[in-house]
Amino acid sequence: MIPYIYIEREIRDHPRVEAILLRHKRATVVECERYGEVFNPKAQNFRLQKQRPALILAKKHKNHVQQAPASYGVGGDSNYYFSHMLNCLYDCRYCFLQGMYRSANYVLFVNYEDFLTAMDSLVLPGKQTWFFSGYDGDSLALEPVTDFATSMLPWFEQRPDAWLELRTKSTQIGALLQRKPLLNVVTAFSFTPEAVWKATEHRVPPVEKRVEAMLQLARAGWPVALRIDPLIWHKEYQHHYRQLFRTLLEALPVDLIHSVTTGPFRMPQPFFRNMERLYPEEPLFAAGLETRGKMVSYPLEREQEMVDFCLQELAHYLPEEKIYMNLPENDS
Amino acid sequence: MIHFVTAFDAEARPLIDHFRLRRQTDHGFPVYAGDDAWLVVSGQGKVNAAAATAHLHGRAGLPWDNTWINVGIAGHAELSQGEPRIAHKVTDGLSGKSWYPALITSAPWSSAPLVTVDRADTTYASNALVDMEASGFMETALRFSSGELVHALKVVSDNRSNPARIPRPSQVKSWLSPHAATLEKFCHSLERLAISLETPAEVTQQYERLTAAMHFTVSQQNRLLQLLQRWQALNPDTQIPAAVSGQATAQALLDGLQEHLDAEPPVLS
Repeated sequence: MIPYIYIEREIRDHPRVEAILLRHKRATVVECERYGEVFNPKAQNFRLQKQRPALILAKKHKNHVQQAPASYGVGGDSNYYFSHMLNCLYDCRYCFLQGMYRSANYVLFVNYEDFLTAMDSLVLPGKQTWFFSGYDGDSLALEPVTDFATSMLPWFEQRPDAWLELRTKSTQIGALLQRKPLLNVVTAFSFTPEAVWKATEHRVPPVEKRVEAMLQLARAGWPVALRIDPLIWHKEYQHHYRQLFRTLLEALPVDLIHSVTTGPFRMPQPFFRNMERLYPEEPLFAAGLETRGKMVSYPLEREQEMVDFCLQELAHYLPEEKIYMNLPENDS
Repeated sequence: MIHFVTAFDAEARPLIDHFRLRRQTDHGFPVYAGDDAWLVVSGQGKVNAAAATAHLHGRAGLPWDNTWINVGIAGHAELSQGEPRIAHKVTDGLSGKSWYPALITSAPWSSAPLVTVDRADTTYASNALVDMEASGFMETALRFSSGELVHALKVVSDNRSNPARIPRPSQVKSWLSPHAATLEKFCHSLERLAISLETPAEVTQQYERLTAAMHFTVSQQNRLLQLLQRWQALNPDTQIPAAVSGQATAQALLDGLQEHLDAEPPVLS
């Protein structure tokens, strides 16, 4: 249950705000001028707020859609990302959001139409233009609150050159299953091995539940994809990743998989320091990482060993053209 | 530790009694202390509230991320006298600046917006609580603690039907006293949050033992604390190996510990 809903005065009467309030009649509503007043103050603790996050409803005024890093893509001609939400229902210990934001409250930008207008100006006829959702929060986990996918899909139905990636760890696929599948909307499920899920992906549905959701979508004709990142170094990691790939790729016929991406754990140093301060007891941050340039990551040799291992294992199941390697900015 | 800031002695009295606080020998502001709590009486107005909050912070040993509560009376257009409310938004009436205290634990009272004014307001024009201290308190207490641990609890003293006049001390006590026990429970729930932010005792103990035995520079002390936290995360409740702690110099100890930590992958389960 969401205990508090903060609303920017400007959008108090927005139909999407009204709809959300109707679904959360017990929440206390607090008006604010700009969402930053609630979200940005320095004296906040992400870890404490994660115990009982509030919802902030806001309007995004600019930069609705941004160019994706040059190293990121799944075969399209141009790549963009956008964030209709800041923060996530889940609490993954390796997630950069906890290092980037001071607040764990969910911010939802309700002016979806402005995102679509911005996308419209970027789509080139005959070219594959990708829009990646789920960078600053899970794309589907809060669908029952946001109606985000439901609102966006009709637009993508009309624009076959515009491709949407819904990146998620959730099993909230009802909005998709209710309608005719769209071949230009790919639901990309993120996975780590079960041991990593148990230890670090708090509140995320179990691996088998997500596999089930993925299969349901694929059988209904929706393209699905696998996202195996960040790669996490831990005792017996090779055994665990091998097991994960077997679980995923034996359950899912290869022809139903749009793509698989993988990439190492890399974190801007200031974000990492914040995360370390928030969770000093976290084993994940305590072993085997080093600062390289402006990033904290595993030592190059270890990182390469993990990437090579995973690519090799994935190649047992998938043709090369479906596998993409994503190296975060800096030294890709 | 809990830190209370009240404007008047009559607002403080129910807390002094309930938390068994004793008067301290401070100049400047009346300060009270007990086993679990500190209290300062600021006097009327946000400037006094800010100054008293800062005074208490110093007096209590400059604590970081502790619980701070501004307790007092406030006006409201419609709420009945004696009705308690915790603030979910505090606005300074003059500057327009707002703070949004985050209620992470469920509060036992309903919440309401609170506006701090510089002069007593008898118009009852808004649907907010109206007081004269909370914005000064928030501005200052949030320098010392995280927003989830800093709150303002107000009990309605006047409304449209019973307009503002200076209430008798006995009246103020009778409005606030019934909420002291609930307030204690609420403060303890905040204290539990605050404890989760403290450095684990095992880390502090190992740190003190090692720094007492050998000389560390300030930057070496910081590195030692960080490495000991990592050690504790990977090997809970285990002392660092004698081969590492027995090194002849601080530098050798730090390098040995670092090497140890980087070699083994974490066991995730």
